[in-house]
Amino acid sequence: MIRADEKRRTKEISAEHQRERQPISETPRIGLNDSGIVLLAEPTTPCRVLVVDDDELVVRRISTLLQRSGYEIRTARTGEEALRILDATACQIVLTDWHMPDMDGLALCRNLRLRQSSSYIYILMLTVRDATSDILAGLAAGADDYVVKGATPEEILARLEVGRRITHLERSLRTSNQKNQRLSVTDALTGARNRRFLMKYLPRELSRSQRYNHPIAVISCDLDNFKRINDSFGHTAGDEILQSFVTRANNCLRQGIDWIARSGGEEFVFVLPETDLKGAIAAAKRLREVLVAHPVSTSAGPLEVTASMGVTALETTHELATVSSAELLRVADRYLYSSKHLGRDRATAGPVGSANLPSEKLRGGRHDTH
Amino acid sequence: MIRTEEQPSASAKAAHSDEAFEEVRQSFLLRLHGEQARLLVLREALGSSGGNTASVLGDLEVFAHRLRGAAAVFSSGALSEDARLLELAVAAASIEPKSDNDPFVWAALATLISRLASINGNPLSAGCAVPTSQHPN
Repeated sequence: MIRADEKRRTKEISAEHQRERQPISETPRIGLNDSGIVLLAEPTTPCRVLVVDDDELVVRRISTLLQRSGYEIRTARTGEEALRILDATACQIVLTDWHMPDMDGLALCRNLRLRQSSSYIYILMLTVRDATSDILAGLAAGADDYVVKGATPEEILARLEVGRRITHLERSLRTSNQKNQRLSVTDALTGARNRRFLMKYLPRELSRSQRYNHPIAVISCDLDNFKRINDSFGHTAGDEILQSFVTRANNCLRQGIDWIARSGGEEFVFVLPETDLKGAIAAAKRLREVLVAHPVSTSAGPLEVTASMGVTALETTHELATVSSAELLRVADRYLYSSKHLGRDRATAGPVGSANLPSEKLRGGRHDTH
Repeated sequence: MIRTEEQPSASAKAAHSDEAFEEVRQSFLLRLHGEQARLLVLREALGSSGGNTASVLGDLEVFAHRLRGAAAVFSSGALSEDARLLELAVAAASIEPKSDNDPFVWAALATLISRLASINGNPLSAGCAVPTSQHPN
């Protein structure tokens, strides 16, 4: 029976991986809106503005103006209500009055700036307070711009357009950064995670396992005789084999939970959170079966591919607390070398503890899955 | 509030928007009748406060500030300015409360009530008989 926290953990990992996989869909456009205002970088998604004012008629007037210019509108009558809406709905711009019951515009600005938000919120204050000291106070509280009530609709729209442009630019930069981040941890040839990702995220996976006291397994994997394939059939065929290997391996793993990293030329590490040794052995068996089931189609013709694997897991509280990610990888590698030593095309598995024993006892404690 | 109906054409959208704006503007003009009545009540309260003006002045300031903002948004510049003068006069009187006879407050009240009465189409009911002695010099 799966425990509740295990389910939650599985969801957590899945969501995390989903976030990383979100596609980048925004493309800046250039054009004109209904009012003839040039949009230098109009986003494909509508810009959502939260209008905050305790005067209902003012809110309706501003909303009418903005809707006509293509903005999507949310409204709030107080700062508190504005925060509640922002908790539930992403708004790119907040257009707020100063004087309001409970939380005023200044407090709202300060509150928004203290928040950890996934994207920047552009704040435009719209108030009748027109003294220089008021404007300075508004900007100091965190407003990006300040407009005095009585400004023409054209001016309000023009200033909002600045906000739309800035938030769009910020969003573009953020998505671009995310894309670059993904690329920086992805192996360009196979699409698997790269060594950098492995070194960064394996410790995190381990920490999570420690926190929830859940097992974690790794499989260290090496394609057999890969150098000979490269030498005999060329690097293109070698690349095709690597790509095919990752595709096949991915089909043997749980999507969004397990992950593969290419740790070297023909070396891979499989990280299997929430998996004990028995589960990891089953995964290794599946992988081996898939590999030997049929040859890989390459430009040099169909080629047989086999792999040697070393499987280990952290299962007990003590192991989780004392074994580092580097040690875990070292143990998996030792089992991998055993597989190589025993004749390749097999998986050798064992707990982390046995790997430190003398070699004779080590062999006795292993599960040879061949 | 998001519009959930199908996306209308640009001209239909503009026409709809004009109608919506006109509707809001009419609501604002209608509200001014209530504002005038409310201001008269506040004026009465100020006159009968017997020197204990703090609470009434506070209400007047909030009232004037709110009206000032709404009038500005609805492009009623003169009304907004009159409300601003009352707000400033009340703010000044609140810092140094003298009595219920602050001439600047009464003058600003009279101007604003006249303005509202004029906009509301009942200038004769302005009814702001400010004692001559209470006018500022």
